[in-house]
Amino acid sequence: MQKKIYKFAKVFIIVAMLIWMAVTSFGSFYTVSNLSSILMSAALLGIMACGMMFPLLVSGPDLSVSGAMAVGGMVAVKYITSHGGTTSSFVTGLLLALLAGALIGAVMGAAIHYFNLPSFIVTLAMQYVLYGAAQIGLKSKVVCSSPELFCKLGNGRLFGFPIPVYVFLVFVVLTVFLMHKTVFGRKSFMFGGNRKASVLCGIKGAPVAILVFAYSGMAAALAGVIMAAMNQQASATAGTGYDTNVLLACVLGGGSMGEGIGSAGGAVYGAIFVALLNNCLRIASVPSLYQEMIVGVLIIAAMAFENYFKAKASGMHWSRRKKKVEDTRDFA
Amino acid sequence: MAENKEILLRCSKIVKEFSGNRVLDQVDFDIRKGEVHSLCGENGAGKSTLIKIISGIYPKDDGVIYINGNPVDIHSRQDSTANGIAVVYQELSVMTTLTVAENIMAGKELTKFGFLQKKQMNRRVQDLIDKYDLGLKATQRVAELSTAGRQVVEILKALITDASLIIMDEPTASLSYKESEALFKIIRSLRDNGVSILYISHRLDEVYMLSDRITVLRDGKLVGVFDKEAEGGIKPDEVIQAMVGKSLSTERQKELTPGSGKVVLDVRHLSHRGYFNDISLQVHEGEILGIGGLVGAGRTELLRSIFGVDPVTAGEVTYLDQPISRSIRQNIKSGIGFISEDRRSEGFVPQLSVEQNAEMINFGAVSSFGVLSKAKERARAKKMIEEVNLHPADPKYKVANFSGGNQQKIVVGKWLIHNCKLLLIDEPTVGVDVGAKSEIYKIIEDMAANGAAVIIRQ
Ligand SMILES: Nc1ncnc2c1ncn2[C@@H]1O[C@H](COP(=O)(O)OP(=O)(O)OP(=O)(O)O)[C@@H](O)[C@H]1O
Ligand SMILES: [Mg+2]
Repeated sequence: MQKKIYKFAKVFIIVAMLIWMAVTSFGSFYTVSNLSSILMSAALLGIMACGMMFPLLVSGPDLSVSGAMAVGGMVAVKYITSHGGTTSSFVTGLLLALLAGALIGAVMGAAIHYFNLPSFIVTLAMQYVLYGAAQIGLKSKVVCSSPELFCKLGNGRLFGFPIPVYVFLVFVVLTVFLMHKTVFGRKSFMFGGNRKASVLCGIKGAPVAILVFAYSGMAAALAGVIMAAMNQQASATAGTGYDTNVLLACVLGGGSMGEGIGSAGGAVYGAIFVALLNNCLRIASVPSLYQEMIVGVLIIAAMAFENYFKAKASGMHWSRRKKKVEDTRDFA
Repeated sequence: MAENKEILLRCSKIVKEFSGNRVLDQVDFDIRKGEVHSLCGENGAGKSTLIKIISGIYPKDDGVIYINGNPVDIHSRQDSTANGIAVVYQELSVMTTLTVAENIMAGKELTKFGFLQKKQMNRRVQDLIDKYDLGLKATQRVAELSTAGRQVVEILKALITDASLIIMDEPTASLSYKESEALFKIIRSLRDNGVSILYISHRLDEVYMLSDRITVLRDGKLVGVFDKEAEGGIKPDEVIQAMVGKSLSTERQKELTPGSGKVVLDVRHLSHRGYFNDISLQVHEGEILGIGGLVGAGRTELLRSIFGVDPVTAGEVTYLDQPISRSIRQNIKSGIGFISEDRRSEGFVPQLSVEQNAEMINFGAVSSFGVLSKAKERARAKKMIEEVNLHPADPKYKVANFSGGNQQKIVVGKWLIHNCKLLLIDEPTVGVDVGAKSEIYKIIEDMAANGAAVIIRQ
């Protein structure tokens, strides 16, 4: 019952935003170009949220995604421009960017696992490293407007929908498969849910920790390449703000801080929510500084709600006086 | 006691449902002043749920709780403490670096001008210890105490709040025989001082020995109250019959033939410095080897070192004529199983379902090329559920939502359906009810009969 109310509330908020827009600014919100820009940003956020859901299962947020985006875009664009902008250079450049993203993630995952570091700190530090690297690599903006396939990746359309939306859909299918249908995904849930029990069952932690961050890094690099293709240039600041937005998307989608809770569907929901929210705020001409504040407040609120409903769903008192979740594990 | 029949706490028509499942159905229940009252029932009967309601963790759906005849609202642990109800948790929450007195007075420190009144606090705690004859020193560090001693600290924490009802949910589960005896002495002394005890345990001999009255729950319903003072006293057969709903045949366990097969595990002069020293033993095919000893004698650590969880400082182990691997994963692959004693922190992944927990040790059996097969997962879980008689028998149910004893069945069950050649078991039946206990042992015996070697710590 509680669960149903909660699910309903989640959908309701989205519907409420759509109604709010319909009432206040129908003309500027419900246009083809605005709706497709929402879809575009939902696609970018969604790809990264699908990626970040994995580290959120196992150890915590991956805040390096904004840096990995910049580096991904840089690697692809640099390779393409230095190889004459051919289609084959685009394919290689894209693969190199994905590889770079995965490597970055793998390094973080290894550091987090082997040195037992908090993922929050490691990924935040890596974000700085990556921003630095992108700035050094992109002293001047690198414009890239060929090959055609590259431009299409950013701005093309198929059956009326932007190409990134299709990339997003493919990525969602891949993530659902990995997270919910494979042994690797199951191990991620187990490792996050109970580390000691997993070790005693012979599950090795290192591959899980390394792979989840590699996947997140790869997703961020892919988003970075799409972003570069949309702008037809690579810039070191391309990913600014995406870290918190993606984290918000994941948290809204029910991702935990390394406790083995989360789902690919949640990431998709969160991405759509955040893209819609940002767009609504822009159309309602809320200044961007306020938008950032709202994102911050929402991260806290979403996590509070998540905990509240978790307590309710497991049947506990939501202690009225102390306003905290009581721990029931003391009883057998 | 007999002359004091005043009722301290009364529950009237308590109802509790979890997503439509009625876990407590109109339960009436009362505790008198200064009595030891036991709550009995099979795994999942609703015992823990009832005390969670009394102690303010779960809200009840219906019913009234009276204390000293007055209806009370209990919405949080603070409420229950304020009403004189205290709970001794199994998961002990003591701070080991502090002294006994500091632990007990934590949050209730006596101060004068902002300075701690250490002497007064120590005296007050010592007085309390002496009053109930608990055999501790207020100035002792908790780090020096055994599990049993720490449990006494928890009891003291309850006493300092002037609790008139102390609830204990399976307190002897991790105590040795001698420590349990000491605890019983404390319980009796508390009772003689007018404190009521609500006692839950699956060790029925303890229950018969301690209780003034026994309330039995079955499937969330009250099925009987047994009174020592009543004519003929408490008859164990009647209690068991009430618990399981039928008379349990007291079948003798079949005679086991000693294993005569080849040596499966050969441990020679094994040591882990600081835990155990120079252990040698052999287990053969079809043999069940019990390891005895006191709590803290290093039995758990021995099993952990053999399995590769903990290190070894000297000696060697051979498994099927090969040196044993130090990798847990490798050991599981070659047919060794290990059941940890600490189910809550090492046994299962609470938010995953039964079927997902069942497959943890052998993904190979439920997947091909890394892709999981739903049908195989389901089949494996079904097999396990049948073997251990899990309740509720739903493979998709989250493990967190099972009762303590049923969680234990899941922890043990996933190894029992695995084809182990050597099974290392550390206390397999903590918190498991009488019926399930003998079933688990029967499965273990069957495994041995089929040629597996078993080492079991009791
Ligand atoms: N949070 C919960 N959500 C859903 N169901 C629950 C929850 N807690 C308990 N249950 C169910 O309620 C029933 C009673 O559980 P309870 O823990 O009270 O049993 P118990 O009598 O303490 O058993 P045991 O002897 O095994 O500890 C069980 O069927 C259990 O699955
Ligand atoms: Mg219980």
